[in-house]
Amino acid sequence: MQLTVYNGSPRGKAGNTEIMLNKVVEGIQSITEVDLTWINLSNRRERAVAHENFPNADLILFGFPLYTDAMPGLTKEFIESLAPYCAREANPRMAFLVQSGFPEACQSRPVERYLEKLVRRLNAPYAGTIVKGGCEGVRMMPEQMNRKLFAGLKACGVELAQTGSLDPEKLRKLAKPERYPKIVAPLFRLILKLPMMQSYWNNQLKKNGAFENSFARPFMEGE
Amino acid sequence: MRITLLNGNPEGGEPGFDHYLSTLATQLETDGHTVTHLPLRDLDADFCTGCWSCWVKTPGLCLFKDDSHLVCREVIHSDFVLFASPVLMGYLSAVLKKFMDKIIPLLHPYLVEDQGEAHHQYRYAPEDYPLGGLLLEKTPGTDEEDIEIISAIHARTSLNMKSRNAFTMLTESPVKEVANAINRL
Repeated sequence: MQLTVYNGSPRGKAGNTEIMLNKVVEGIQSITEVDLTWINLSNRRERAVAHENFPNADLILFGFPLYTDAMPGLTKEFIESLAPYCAREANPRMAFLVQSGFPEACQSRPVERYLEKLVRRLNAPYAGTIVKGGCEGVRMMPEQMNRKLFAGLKACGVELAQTGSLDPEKLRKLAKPERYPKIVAPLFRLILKLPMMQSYWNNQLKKNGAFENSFARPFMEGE
Repeated sequence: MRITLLNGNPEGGEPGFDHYLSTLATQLETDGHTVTHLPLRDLDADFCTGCWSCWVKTPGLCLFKDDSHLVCREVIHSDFVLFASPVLMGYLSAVLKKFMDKIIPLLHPYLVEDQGEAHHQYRYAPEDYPLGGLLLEKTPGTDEEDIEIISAIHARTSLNMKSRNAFTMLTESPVKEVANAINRL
């Protein structure tokens, strides 16, 4: 099978999307032999010609992190380069992965709707979208913390290879938590304020000597 | 009001779009507003690289000294920001999206609970964040579903940007109608 992977993360090979896409591909490869083309859209030169691989694939796996509630700007630039293919009668089957730093999956649902529509616009079969929140730390977590997530992503790959599509019920399970019930909002509020939750940012701020300055308002000073 | 028009018409984009926005800018000035019209394609900035320096190294500022600083300054000092773009492949243009990604320095990395969801904490005072509006130009192939999807995504963006999307309008409407919608805010 000719598989083309588009990694739409601005962090490219160093990001969480890369790791997660790799797990899905591992699942596909456990079932079928794959002729793999991997394109990092963060690379300007690769991005400029990335669309050339689009029509030749049997399956496209397209992943990106959620940036201001949709695809990152450079990923949108790539999508615009696909416009000429809308005129084709049929295009390759497409599966997506949207991961975000917010804990809940609900934040990625509007862009999932966009992707469903994009596939229709391209006259391509839709294989589904893997949505997962709480992923900012994936690349820094010990392997064991990611075990469940990675197993889920691999299972998605297996399913893609076996059936050509992702099962909506399994996607729903993988995406959990979808959103926190309103009733637990006070608890949620407390949890988000725990030192443990903020330490991810605080450690980096301290390392850079910027912790004291963390709430700086650079555009208000002197005005 | 102090108003910023973020013009997301790309190079070689919709020919009438810039004219529409210039006319809108003039109308809004006539109505007593202070207007900054920014054709984003003429500004110098690369795409967000996801380095998060604006959160952990140079808090509140993109590490790259590009025109995103100017856009952030305009946005945080505005009372109203119009996000304007032709609809390309069913969404806002890449050049507008580029600058939307680059205004996250206006937020703080910490997450807080807001309407039962996790959102970023304020960096500036709550009243500093502007109201927003969407102005879209349909292109061949744009349908009602596209407009609805863009609005749905933008409603989330507004919530995340400590703002509210006051309206979604199309350039099919006369300039005066859009100006009036802004005047009513």
